[in-house]
Amino acid sequence: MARFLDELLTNAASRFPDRPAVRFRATELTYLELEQLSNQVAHTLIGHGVKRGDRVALYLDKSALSIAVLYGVLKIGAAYVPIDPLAPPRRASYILENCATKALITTGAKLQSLELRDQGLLKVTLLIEGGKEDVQTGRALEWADVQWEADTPVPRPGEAEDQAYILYTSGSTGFPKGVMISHRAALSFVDWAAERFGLTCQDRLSNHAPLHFDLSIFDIFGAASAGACLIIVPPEISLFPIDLAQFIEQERITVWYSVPSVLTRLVLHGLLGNRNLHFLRAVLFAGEVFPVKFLRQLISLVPGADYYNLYGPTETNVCTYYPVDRVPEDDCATLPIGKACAGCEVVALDAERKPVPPGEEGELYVRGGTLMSGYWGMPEKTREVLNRIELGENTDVYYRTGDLVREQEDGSYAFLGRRDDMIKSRGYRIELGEIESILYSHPAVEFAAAVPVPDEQFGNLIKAVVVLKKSSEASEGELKTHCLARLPRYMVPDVIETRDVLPRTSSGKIDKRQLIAGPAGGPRN
Amino acid sequence: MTISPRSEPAAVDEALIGFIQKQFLYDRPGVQLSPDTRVIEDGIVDSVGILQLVGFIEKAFEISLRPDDLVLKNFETVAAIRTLVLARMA
Repeated sequence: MARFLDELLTNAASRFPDRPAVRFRATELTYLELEQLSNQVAHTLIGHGVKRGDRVALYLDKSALSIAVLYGVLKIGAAYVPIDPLAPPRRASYILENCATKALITTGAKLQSLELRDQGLLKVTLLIEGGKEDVQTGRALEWADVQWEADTPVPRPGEAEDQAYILYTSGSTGFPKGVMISHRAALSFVDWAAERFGLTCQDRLSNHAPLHFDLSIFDIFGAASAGACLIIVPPEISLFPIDLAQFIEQERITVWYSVPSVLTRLVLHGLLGNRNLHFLRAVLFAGEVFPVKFLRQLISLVPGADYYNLYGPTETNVCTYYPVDRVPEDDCATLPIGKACAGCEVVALDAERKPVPPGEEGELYVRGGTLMSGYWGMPEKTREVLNRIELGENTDVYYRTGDLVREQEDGSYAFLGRRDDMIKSRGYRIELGEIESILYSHPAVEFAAAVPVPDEQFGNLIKAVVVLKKSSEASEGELKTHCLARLPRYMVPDVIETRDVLPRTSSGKIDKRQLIAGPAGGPRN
Repeated sequence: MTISPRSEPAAVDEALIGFIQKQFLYDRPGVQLSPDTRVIEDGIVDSVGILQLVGFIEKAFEISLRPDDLVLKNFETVAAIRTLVLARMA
């Protein structure tokens, strides 16, 4: 058993040196090439003083190189911090400063766009392209510097409890939170998944999710653990279901993993009937509820595959799963999230943290080897969700998910909804409070509320309603621009309405239910 | 807005560029779109955006696109979209 995620690559490189490890557009690297390239990255980082326990941010588009870079970071015992390449520079800068990033791997253009307050923060910057000027002035290293390095293994320091990566997710207070995952926690999930889904070196795994989205953990490390090939889906292809279906066929993908909304769009617009997808043996989805009517259609279009609903917040990795043996006949029914994966235990508790009997609603708590270590630099936030709880004879640390569930007769859990204001859109989790606090930071905004607008294809779209301060003006475009400069694109409201007043509940709180229900109140003239 | 069924290529480009600027580039007034800008690969239009763009095209040019028109090749650039629009108007 591997102790470190990067050992999966090293093992695969010795067992399957000549098999394809990763494919992206016209580039394909074998396991030996990926191993050697990541060794060169590791040597480069070590040579410039990056060491075990440091954070190294990746602010770049996905590519075969990005996978080599990620392994290079892991090999020196540092944690990688993937930043959404589409995130506005302001947000990227926040993340870099928040976890005191020692090194950054990015492009020349992205480096130029950053707005760091502490210019001395980054000790090492490596550019995979562009930035000639920064390279000449010595501010940054270029990719050629990596290729001069030895491709031999580096000494591997560290413990399985060391952080492997930090994933930033939406935070309700207006700032993203960094979820710290150790090698042990990630491997606990990866080992289970590789075995449960029977991954072999013959498999070709899709990588649809971006690196900062935890679905990518299964793709990248599941592939390495089996010596399978990781096939990175070019982002522009994902926009066009017909092209995506063709891609799955041409690349002979055997194991697909994405958010359900991508699969819904494949069903609706992908002309799947024209495709021969018999290579596809397993379809995994996670991140949001998959409407059963689309799942049913997908199964009838691609009947040869097995289907699995995976569940788990970033903080727990995947912690439950449901092998789809039959799809409910009622279109309004939701698919169960299933039972705990090996190495995890899940339990539904009431407000007093006592177990609720099967059939009753409770909040889902998770314990086991896959849990996060905490939120970077936020001990208070960590204590809100990671707690030692005594249940019967056992006392252990549990993660409080905020998801409401009910245990069904067969022992699997049904997802009922959220305890708080978090929603899912396109599989991304979004704290509406974070959007609201960004809107409140605009000088013209008096009140703001963000609500989900259910959408068949995307899960939810987001609507914001604002009341402007007296004699202030701000157009929808200006407010959206304000959000775009501070939030990732998927969090920017699709619609921002301005009204004279917001509906209130009897207790004076903004009545979100009424905002969701419709146009009551009406837009301001 | 409805554009004459006998639209000239330049008028189609202008309408498309106007819509994309207003809808997707409102935060980047400095970015100048040309018919050859790679609107998808450069991340200007995302997955929700593509549906908005299709809605605009069908309404503005009074055409209906076929399901198999919705492929990357037809939307890579404004020039590619214009070719598609003119073909469906013919």
